[in-house]
Amino acid sequence: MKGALIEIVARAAGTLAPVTLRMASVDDSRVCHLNDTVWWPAISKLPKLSYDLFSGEFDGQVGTPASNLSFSCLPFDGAPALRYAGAPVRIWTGDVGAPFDSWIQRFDGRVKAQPSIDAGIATASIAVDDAWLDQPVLGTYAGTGGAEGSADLKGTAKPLALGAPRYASGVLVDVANSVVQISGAGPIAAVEAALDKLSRFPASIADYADHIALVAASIPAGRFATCLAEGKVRHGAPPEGTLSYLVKGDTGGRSSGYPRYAGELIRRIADIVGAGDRVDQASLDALDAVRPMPLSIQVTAQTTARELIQRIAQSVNAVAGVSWLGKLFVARIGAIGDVMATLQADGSALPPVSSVKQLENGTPWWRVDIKAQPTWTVHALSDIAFAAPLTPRGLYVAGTTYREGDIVDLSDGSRWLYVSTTPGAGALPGPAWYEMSPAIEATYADGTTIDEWKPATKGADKTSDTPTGAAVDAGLNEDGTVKNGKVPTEAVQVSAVQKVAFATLSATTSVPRNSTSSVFFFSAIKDRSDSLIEVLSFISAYSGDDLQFYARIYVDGVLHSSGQTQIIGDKVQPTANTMTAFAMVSGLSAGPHEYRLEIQNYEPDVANLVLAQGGVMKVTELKVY
Amino acid sequence: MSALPNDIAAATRDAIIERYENTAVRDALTGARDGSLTPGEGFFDLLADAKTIVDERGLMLAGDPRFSVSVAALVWSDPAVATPAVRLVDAEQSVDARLCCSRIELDLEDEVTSFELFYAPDVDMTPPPTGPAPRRIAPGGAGAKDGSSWENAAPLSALNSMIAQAALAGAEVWLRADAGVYNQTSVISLSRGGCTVRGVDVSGNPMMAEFVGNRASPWTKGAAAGSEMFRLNAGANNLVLQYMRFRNVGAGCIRMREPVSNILIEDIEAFNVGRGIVNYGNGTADATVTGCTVRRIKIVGFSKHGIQFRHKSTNILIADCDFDSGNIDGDFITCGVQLDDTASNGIVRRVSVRNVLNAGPGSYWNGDGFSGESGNANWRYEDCYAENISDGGIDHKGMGVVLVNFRTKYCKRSIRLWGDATVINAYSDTPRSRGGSGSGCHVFAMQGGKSRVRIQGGTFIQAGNAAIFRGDQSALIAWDSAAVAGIQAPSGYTLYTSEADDPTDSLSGVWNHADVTPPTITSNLALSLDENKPGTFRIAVSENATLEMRGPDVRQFNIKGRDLTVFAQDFEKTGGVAVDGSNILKIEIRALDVNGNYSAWSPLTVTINDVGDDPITVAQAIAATGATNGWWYDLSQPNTAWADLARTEPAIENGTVKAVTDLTGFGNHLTFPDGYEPLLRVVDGYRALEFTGAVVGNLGPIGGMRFAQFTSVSTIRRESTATDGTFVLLFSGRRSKNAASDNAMHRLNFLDTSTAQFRVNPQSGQTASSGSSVAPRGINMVVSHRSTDGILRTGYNANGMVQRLDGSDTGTATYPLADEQPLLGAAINETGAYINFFEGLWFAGTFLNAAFPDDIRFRTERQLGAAAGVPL
Repeated sequence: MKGALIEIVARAAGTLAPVTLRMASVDDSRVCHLNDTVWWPAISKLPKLSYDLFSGEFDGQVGTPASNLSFSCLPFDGAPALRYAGAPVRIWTGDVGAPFDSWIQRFDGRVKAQPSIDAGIATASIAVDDAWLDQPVLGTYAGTGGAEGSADLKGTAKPLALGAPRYASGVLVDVANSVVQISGAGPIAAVEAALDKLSRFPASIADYADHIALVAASIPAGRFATCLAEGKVRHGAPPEGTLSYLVKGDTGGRSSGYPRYAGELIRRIADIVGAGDRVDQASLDALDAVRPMPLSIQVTAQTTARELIQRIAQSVNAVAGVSWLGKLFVARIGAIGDVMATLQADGSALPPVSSVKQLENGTPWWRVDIKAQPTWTVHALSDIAFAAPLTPRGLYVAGTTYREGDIVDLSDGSRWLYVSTTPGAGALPGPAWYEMSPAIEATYADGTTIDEWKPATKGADKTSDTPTGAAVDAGLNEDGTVKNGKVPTEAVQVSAVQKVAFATLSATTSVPRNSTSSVFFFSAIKDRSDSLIEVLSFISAYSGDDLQFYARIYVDGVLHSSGQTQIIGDKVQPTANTMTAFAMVSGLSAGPHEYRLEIQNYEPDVANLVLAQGGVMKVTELKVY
Repeated sequence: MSALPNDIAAATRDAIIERYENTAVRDALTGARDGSLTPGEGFFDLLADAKTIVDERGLMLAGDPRFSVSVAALVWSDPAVATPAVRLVDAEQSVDARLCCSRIELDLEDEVTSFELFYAPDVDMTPPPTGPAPRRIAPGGAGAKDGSSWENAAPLSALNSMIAQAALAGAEVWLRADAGVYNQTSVISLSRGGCTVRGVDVSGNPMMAEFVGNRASPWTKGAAAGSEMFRLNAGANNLVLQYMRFRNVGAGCIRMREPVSNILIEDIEAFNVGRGIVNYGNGTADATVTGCTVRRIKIVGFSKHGIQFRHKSTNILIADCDFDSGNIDGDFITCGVQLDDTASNGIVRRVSVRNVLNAGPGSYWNGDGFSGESGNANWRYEDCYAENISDGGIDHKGMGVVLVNFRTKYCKRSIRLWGDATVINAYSDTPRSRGGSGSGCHVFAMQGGKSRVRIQGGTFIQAGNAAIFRGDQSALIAWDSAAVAGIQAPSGYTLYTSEADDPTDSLSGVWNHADVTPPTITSNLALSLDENKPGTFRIAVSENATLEMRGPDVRQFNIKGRDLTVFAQDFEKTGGVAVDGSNILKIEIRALDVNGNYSAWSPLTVTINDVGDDPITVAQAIAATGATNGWWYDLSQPNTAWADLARTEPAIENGTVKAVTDLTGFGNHLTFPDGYEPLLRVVDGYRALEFTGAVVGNLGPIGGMRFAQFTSVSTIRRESTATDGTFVLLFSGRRSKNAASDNAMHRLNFLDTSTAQFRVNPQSGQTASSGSSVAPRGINMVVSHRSTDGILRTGYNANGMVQRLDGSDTGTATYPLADEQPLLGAAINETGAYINFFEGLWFAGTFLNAAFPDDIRFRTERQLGAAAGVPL
């Protein structure tokens, strides 16, 4: 038998001194005196504990487990008068009779508000404590001048650069000295490039320890210096246009490197809001192990840790949540490791399944897009300093004269900039053009994409060309799986098919000199009138000397293909040489047709052409492309 | 300063979009949603990561069923440890699968657990395996290391014995994949088979087992190449290899090194490797694979081969593979799917190859997506794709090649074919050169004499007006109207061009599928040819066609396209020129048009004419050619070999020879320096000088053989035990020790049994008389050369002389130095040392400053051949 224990640490009215209420779910001395403590059998209704991990869309928030529980006030003196809001709540479960050490703590949270109490029964709302998730992530400027910005910045958010954001923006914190802050939560790793109207400055002349030193430095016009410790850049002259930066961002206190992966970034956010001890580090590490994907983000508008963490987790198909013990965790959606139970609906195994229902599901998505390499300061063409005006010219037209700065598009989605200083009708692609953005993916006139094949991925066998039945035999079970120690030999017997028929040479066959033999001759029914027939034959032949023979394919007595093999002199191999005959036939009506492979041996010097056992002729009815 | 184009490109858009699409869902499920209007938020630095995520997301949103399950028990889980999952079995709902939990609720009061479940994209739908207990391998092994359990897992080094045990028990071999990687820097050789070997997690579910080698990462030319990983040696038959991932591996993740059969390799990934799944033996040893399926292989970053099959391997299926070389250069001639030797009968299906680059080392850039050699017959490529390749999307030289829906983009030459091939519904997008010489095109029928390419439909896209189709010497290429309709190019484009030396050498035109009219041969087929030299006849046909032949004398002919070549014949051959003993060669030929219509067989005869090729005297030769300088030595003549330089003491059998008399009267006597003298031998009654590898003679004075044109004939026997290498017979080269080069002014040498070479300054090329048994060892033979047309001939029996011509090596010989030393039997290098000694016997020879007419040349060959009994 299972039992549950609940402990609530309420407060006395007035003194607010702690008052601990301990209660049990069963009236059994083995529980009520567990661990030499009195647990009153006062629980009238245990809570429901839940996790909401995935809604079916990627629109969730960091969930907070919450529930209700009810208990009798009678065993506890003055219980109705106690103050419960914010009171810690802990719940254990275990086997009745087992020592307390074996009981497992299941919940660690707080009472959300003063409970309702009716007829001596208190009903309390409980939830885990995740208030830290609602703290603002970004610091704000004091507006006191210098490093803290001028008065007009007071209360505005300091930016935060995580990862290596591209074309990150900055806050001009010191107008007079042209000091810009890119990240304000601590040191950053590097400023790889500073750009004004997208024109790059030469590399930083130096890095300074703090804002004061940065301002005091002598920086010539057209150059810049950094104060990585405060995430700042100072330019030698006021900017001419929009500033942007290529940054290696917040170091998270590391002496080398900086957080790059989702788990690392989430931990950094928790640290920023002072809740590093509230995360389940193992789950963050596990996520990074399966998602070693460098991410970059610059946060410039105030946000909460809850929102930012969820955005990052969701971007890598993970969910962030708070466990019943109050720890932030992340879990990859859709990853299957070990199963925790097998649920047999027919009741043939434990745990007992009460019901199985299929849920209404949303309309499926046939196309899903996701962003990558985001640009944090998107420039208008007018805000770019280029050698010539940047002019969008629409779709590329062959033969049209283009000039430096012209931008054209191709139908595959790619975008190109004319970079030659000489106007001309340069072919695209060509040396006069720079590919600004590639085609999203190779797409063909019929709409087929390479990725529709899913090459090299499980289930790539799109056309289901693994043969079934006894045709291939050899190494397949009835369900098409490979028998142990066997390999299918479908290499020459499969195709994207409507239907297949074939015949195999069951024994070695001889074709005498200067004679013709119908090696294969069979009938097969064609299902459709608008399909194609592909006839493919592989035969292996040898003679011990020269080989000279024809292979001809007939359909209903009409010759459709003829090929010649002629191997003479020292090129003859002692082993078999193989000949393929191939014909593609259209226009055949539905119904039975006769297929024949004819071999003519015209080698004069050897008596017999020998066809090896295992040669095959296959007739495939193909769907029309 | 001006903004850089790459900054402009990156900073003028919000983000790059990666996409998942499933048009089958779109077409089948009305109302399916399109998420392209609201792209999901992503912060990825790497596009590949975004692609991974969006693909996975697309599968999760594909509308697979979701379930609500209620269980009368408390089932605790911790999502911080692993995403909760259960296996649900319910026949009524037609489900037996492992599913992810989207919501879990535990009602502690009623002791009920409620699940909401959904299909995950990486779910393995198959139930856990059952059957005999697998043999287990884990990194480093564990416990007793006997493979009986994970606690007693065997190490990887025991894989071969585990396979043997598993095969006996009918079990599998499991490679644990969730307990770290296998760091392996030496080869694991397998000689046992008969079971499945696969990567698994601790529960036996498929999972990629990762093997990490010692290849430099990233690899560049000259860096550590790394070891191979798995070798399949003889005995490793009936083997299945699944779920493996390789990193930093050298010349083969899985190498089929000895003959094996029935191999299935699937679900493999490899990163930074020299070669992926390959098949090559040790040295020249055979490693034929019979029956092999390779599928679902993904390789990123290979420098040599993604997949390779060679030897006489047959029955091959390569399917659903994706190879990205990553433009790794430095492992010369890179190829995604490479076929060599006579590997035949295979299908390559849904395989993509991308980013193959070989920038040099020569002016022509190699590197193909798919490649086959002349012995690789009967290969069929379906739905394959090549992109961004520095040479051919496909370059296949074999016969019986069929391409169906073959697609290319940004390859120099999308499709290059050298044999009989059919191209159905190809899609060639913008051929473009990544560098090096050679023009781009969509479909190129290459030289070699066997090229017969038919193009049916397809799409051919280009922005310029270069030729869509190209043909080289003796090629036949034909296209149908659908193929022309599929051309997307600016007006004025060129449909076809010939790259042959003579544009008429190639044939091109329309493939009319309705054509049932057989071609007609219109040439006069009663031909004649003078003996001693080959002849080529172009056969006229009523339409574009190639030729086939049959008949008793086919060995004396060769066909290239519509050209028929007759090999050189000897009218005096014992038993006659033809099989029937006459001097008339007889075969039948017929023509095959583009649509497969044959003409009737037509008899063809070639009458071999007798020419005056009786032996000749020295005086007759000089008189007939007008030669004014040179030499003529013939040891069969009396009083020609001397034991002293003064030529007063006749050399004796097995004695040293110091000089040989020049019979021309020009005074260019052959002399041997001290220490380099030959012995005089009598072999089968014929007198010869023995060149033992340390013999060299001076052919007259320094600078004495500076002839603008010349003809040479030598009668020799190459040493039967000589190895392959450079063996110089005649040489005129630099004498100065300070010369920077040892290039010869002229040089005759042998390489192996099939190659004799004659080089004449200043041409950089050479007459390479290559062919089976052109330069045999251990047989008396004649070799002759004429500098004006570069024709080199060798012969050793009654079949006459084999004649070769390399047109690049003709013209007037030049001699920029005055101190060339003409030599017999060796070359000389820039330090003055003799190198490349000839090994064998030398019977006779001449070298005269005249271009011999054919008849005089033939008579001279016969005359000097008689010095060693060569029956020309």
